[in-house]
Amino acid sequence: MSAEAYSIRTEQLTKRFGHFTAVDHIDVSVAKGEVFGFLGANGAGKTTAIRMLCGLLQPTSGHGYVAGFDVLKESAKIRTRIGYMSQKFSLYPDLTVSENLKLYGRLYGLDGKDLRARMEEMAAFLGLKDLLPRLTSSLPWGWQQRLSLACANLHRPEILFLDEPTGSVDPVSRRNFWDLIHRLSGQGTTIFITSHYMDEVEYCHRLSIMIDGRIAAMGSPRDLKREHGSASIHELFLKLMEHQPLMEHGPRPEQKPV
Amino acid sequence: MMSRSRLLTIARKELRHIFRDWQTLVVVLVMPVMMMFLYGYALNADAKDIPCLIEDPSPSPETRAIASKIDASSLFSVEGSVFTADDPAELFRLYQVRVIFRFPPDFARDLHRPGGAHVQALIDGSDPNMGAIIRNAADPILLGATLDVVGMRQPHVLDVRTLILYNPEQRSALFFVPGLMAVILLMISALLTSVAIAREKELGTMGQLLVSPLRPLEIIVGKILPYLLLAAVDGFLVLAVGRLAFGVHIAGNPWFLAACSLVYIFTALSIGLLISTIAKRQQHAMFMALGATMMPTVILSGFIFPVLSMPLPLRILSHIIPATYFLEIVRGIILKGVGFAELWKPLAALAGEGLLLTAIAIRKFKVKL
Amino acid sequence: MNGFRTIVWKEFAQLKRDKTSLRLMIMIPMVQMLLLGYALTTEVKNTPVAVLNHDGGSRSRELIEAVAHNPLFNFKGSAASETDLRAGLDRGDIKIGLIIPADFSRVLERATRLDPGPGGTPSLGALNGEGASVQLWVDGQDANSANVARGYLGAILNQWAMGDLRHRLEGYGMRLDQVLPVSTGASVLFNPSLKSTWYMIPGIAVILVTMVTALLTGFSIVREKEAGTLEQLMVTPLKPIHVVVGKAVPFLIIGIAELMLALNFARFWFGVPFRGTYIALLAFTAAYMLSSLGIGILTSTLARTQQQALFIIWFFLLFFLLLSGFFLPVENMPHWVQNVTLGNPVRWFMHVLREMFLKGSGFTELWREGLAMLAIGFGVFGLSLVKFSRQVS
Repeated sequence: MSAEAYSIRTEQLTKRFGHFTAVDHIDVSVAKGEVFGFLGANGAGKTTAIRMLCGLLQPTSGHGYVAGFDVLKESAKIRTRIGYMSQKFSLYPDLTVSENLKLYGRLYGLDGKDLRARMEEMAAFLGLKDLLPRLTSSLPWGWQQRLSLACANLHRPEILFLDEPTGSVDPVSRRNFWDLIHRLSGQGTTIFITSHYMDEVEYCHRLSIMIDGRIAAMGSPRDLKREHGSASIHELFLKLMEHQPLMEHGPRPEQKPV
Repeated sequence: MMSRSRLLTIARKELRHIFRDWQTLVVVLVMPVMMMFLYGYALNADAKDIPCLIEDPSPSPETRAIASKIDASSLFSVEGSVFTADDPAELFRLYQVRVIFRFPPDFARDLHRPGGAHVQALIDGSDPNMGAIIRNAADPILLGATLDVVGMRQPHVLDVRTLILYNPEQRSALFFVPGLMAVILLMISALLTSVAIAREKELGTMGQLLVSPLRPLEIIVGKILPYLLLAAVDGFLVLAVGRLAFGVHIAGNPWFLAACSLVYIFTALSIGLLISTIAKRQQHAMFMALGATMMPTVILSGFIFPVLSMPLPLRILSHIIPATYFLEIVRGIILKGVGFAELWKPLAALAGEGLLLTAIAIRKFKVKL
Repeated sequence: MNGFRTIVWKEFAQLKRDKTSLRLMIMIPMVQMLLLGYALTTEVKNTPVAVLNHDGGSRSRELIEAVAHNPLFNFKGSAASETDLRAGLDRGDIKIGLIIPADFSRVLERATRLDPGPGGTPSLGALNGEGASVQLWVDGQDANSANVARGYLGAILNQWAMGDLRHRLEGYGMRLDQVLPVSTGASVLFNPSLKSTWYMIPGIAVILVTMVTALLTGFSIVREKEAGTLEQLMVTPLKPIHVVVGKAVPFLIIGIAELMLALNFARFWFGVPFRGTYIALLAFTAAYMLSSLGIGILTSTLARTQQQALFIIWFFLLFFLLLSGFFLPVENMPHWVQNVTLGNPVRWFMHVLREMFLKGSGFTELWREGLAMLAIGFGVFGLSLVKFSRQVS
């Protein structure tokens, strides 16, 4: 079986914390260049799944393949080929915009002229050119998100993992953000994006819905709506939630720090 | 007034925070015990077997006998002997000896001539304590050893007899326990409390509490109560370990001790409260508490270093610190067994400071809210 | 690899912006050195003393004069009775009470008298067993200070007595060395005035350097853990060792700068000499910092918040400091404790620094200590690296 056909593929990927199963034997596949929406309510296990795929967390069982490499055994090779934008802002507020870009460019192996060229490109692409000398903490939230995306994309990764990138962002900025994402996808980057906003994910090529750690549905928005007879993904989601017993696993225990 | 059930809810929540932060809890409980054991067993000041060297250009039965008498004393231990010590500094650098006893050439011959002989001690002064001890001991030991060897008695013009009061066995634990109590109670009541309150402010949860039915006074008291409890537990732990492991008995009245401790704890809690109103972030509270309370207390209260030996400005500072008075009180009760009659002055000073600080702290807190 | 240099660059870029911290980093050590330099004296001065004189003779009065005029003591006057003296001690008004017995002057007279002995050779009363005595009541709460104060006072009393003896002998036209076959003397090398600051200040420098390297490094890593920026770094091809060493290097440099600052401050303000060479100083300091940085890094793996990091490092450092010979010499500790301190890097560095400052020792004399520090340093740093790597993967 060639994992190369898919950008991302999981086989019964599972993560347990003590007695609590956060990610429950999921099978997900994402094609190259796709914009894949990874949906679910808060606490459904999305962030845990993404962190396993990025090599930040070790799976309890199952397999994951990113860019053709095994997440457990070949994580070093995966790192150079992916970019990650976490839910919480995790760049340095006390560095300037250009310093943050320079930092991540260098960490991904870019240097000298190549680095400067890419920085200019990304700054232009995301509208950050005038903000380069500004201190990152002085930027409004929406622009900080753009910076995070720029830093994640400097090294032309094959896959971008974006965890709730549009959280707390106003609708106009959200729309702009999705435009950028689709342009990147058009350039060949696979985008794996989580969200709990059911309206914006209509723009994805394919999506999956995660409920209580399990994949309840996966496919293109149009196919899924037709299958379940729903007018919108939002409606579809609510329908799926009804059929699932609530609070099966009880309240989520506080995750212990690593 | 205050609702008891709301108060207890806040107190319980704070208690849960404390227990979840096991790292801090361990340090707060284990550190004083560890210090006591270290101080009690490891840090004895008795100098003994001080390594020394003999310089003896003309060895003779007399010089050898003197050397072995020096070695036989508990204070010194002769590591070896050299013919000449041309470069005594290098000898001190290379070998870990602290004093070189230097015989001149033909010492034995001079001993029996009129005019007598001379013997010197060259002391390594880098450690001034040891240097002083050796300097005080060198003359008598050399004189005594030599006179012994020639069969004369030592002239005892004056005999100084000493009676050590309050701590006859010279146990350092006895001295240390009161100081430790002062530091630990301060650490819990001022440092931890101020950081806890500052943390709620920083996280924004304080705002959440304030919009609830809770009255500001209930919030303060509820938050402080568990730390009061923790301070009492830790203070008791220190006394218990002191008693069980080091035989430190409270010579005076334990209830009086408890009462004075409460006064001190309240003073420390007010300091913590005051700091929490000034600090905007946890880290600031931490550094303020450390710099303005813990450090001065450890250094200037008489805990380890004798205050009387410090220059005047520091001695004045020492009299501003509450811990100085508390230390006097605790030492008085535990070691001397005295009571209110002898200790009313420091107690009044402590209580006065406490009231003043509490008043300032509560006013600032109300204003901030 | 690029990783090290990038992280070092990042750390400096951040430090450059944090002007408050930079100011604190310079000011706090200076203030501490100032405070501690004056406060940490193991000399005992201004000890309050009172006397109870049962004797009516002139000798006891002379003795009291000698004590009262001595600058080390704070003479509080005479007590009326033993109860009075005891009360003074109980209240803490005095720390030592000197009791002179009723026959003091008379006995001293006999001790310093030259009797015609058998065969015409004169013999000193004192050498025949005559001797006066006095008693000291000492407040023994602080065993250390009590011993020192008692030692001083004893020395003063004996000095007075010997002086008195010499004076009397002069009256007979004799010198002390005609009565005694030997004279003794003592001189002090390296620190002739036995100044406490000369001994304590190098020790304080050790504490400062340790605090800066351990605390700041530990804080730095924990802060990134708290903020989530550490995780973001680990998503990149960066390896844990790059992070650890990349963070350690700037603080190593800062630590050395602090040491230099402290050294010069000590020299110009306190007059503490530095007799060693700078090369040796740098070499030994770097060896030591392997341990102090390692402790900071190790702590960052145990702490979730900065407050916890502070408490944990404090705990470690206090333990190491008490057993380092800072306050009291290691040689005076029980043997099993001394063996434990063999693994204490602070002990070795404390010793090295003091020897370098005061005796001018260098590589030839201190190579063993240097080796010990290197061994411990690699061990601690290695362990911290392993723990850190395990945590982030």
